[in-house]
Amino acid sequence: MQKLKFLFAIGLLALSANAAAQSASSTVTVEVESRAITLTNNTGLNFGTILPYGSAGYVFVANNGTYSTSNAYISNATGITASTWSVQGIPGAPYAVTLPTSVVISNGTETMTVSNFNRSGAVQLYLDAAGGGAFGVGARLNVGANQPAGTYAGSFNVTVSYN
Amino acid sequence: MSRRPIFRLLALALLLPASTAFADTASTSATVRIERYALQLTKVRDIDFGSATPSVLQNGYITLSPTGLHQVNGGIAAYDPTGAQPAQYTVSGVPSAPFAVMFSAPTIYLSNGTQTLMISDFVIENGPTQVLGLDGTAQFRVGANLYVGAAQMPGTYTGTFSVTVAYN
Repeated sequence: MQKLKFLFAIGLLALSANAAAQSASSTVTVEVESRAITLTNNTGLNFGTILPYGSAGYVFVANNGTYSTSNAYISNATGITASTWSVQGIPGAPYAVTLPTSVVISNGTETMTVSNFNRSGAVQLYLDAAGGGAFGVGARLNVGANQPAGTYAGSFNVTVSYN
Repeated sequence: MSRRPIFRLLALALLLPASTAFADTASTSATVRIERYALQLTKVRDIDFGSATPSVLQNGYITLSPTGLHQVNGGIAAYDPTGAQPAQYTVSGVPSAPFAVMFSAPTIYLSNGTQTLMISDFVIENGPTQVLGLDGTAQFRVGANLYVGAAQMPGTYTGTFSVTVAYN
């Protein structure tokens, strides 16, 4: 046992002596950064000015801002817009968008429900080469039968995450 | 044992910056302005059945259609349609909105002061359920049957009936 240990030690010394004679050392480094994904809202969702009918209906604003109605009349379409959003993060990174199922908006006393949220773009979204992304979000405004007059407002959250 | 709390704190500190980097949430507004246009009904003209001479023995009736056609049935000895016309109405409200036309009573009575005549079987041009035009207006006429009794007393018989419209 003693002999074996001795020989092994000699062998290691010889190897290290050879290496020192023939090579220069170098350093390899890598810096890992984490870049947060950030979401910015540019415009809100606006359904314009609506005249309700005597039975329930809806106004649907698609994620590109086009709109359609059922059992409701748009008396002023000027302000109708889908909400638009900007994303910043890691170039080329895939990301997901989470939308609400439904939200309630109110004129102070009466309420309306906004549902059927939908966004533009492919099923899987990717940030572009500059790390930017953009999408639109539309939804359906459910108009009650003889919905009382007023300006109804509310808010909703959209979440983006790397995936 | 005393190291474990420190270990946990470190782990928490590492996780927090990582989770904020992976997702972000922003909020925006959803707004709409709701206006109401009340449904308005205006009478353009009254219904008029013209002049009739009743039979001495037999009851009869005059049918005035909503388009102005008239027909004499049963015991009407003579009929002069001069001035006969259906009632006419205009409606205004929300463009393209459906609405219903209703009568306050299915039957009304006209009177000359002593005797009465019955009007019934009101008929609405285009039916009881209608749709306003793209300009938010609609027109309709109303006809009915006037029932004349045998040996009905001469005179000018008048009465009123009510028509109601509502969004539906």
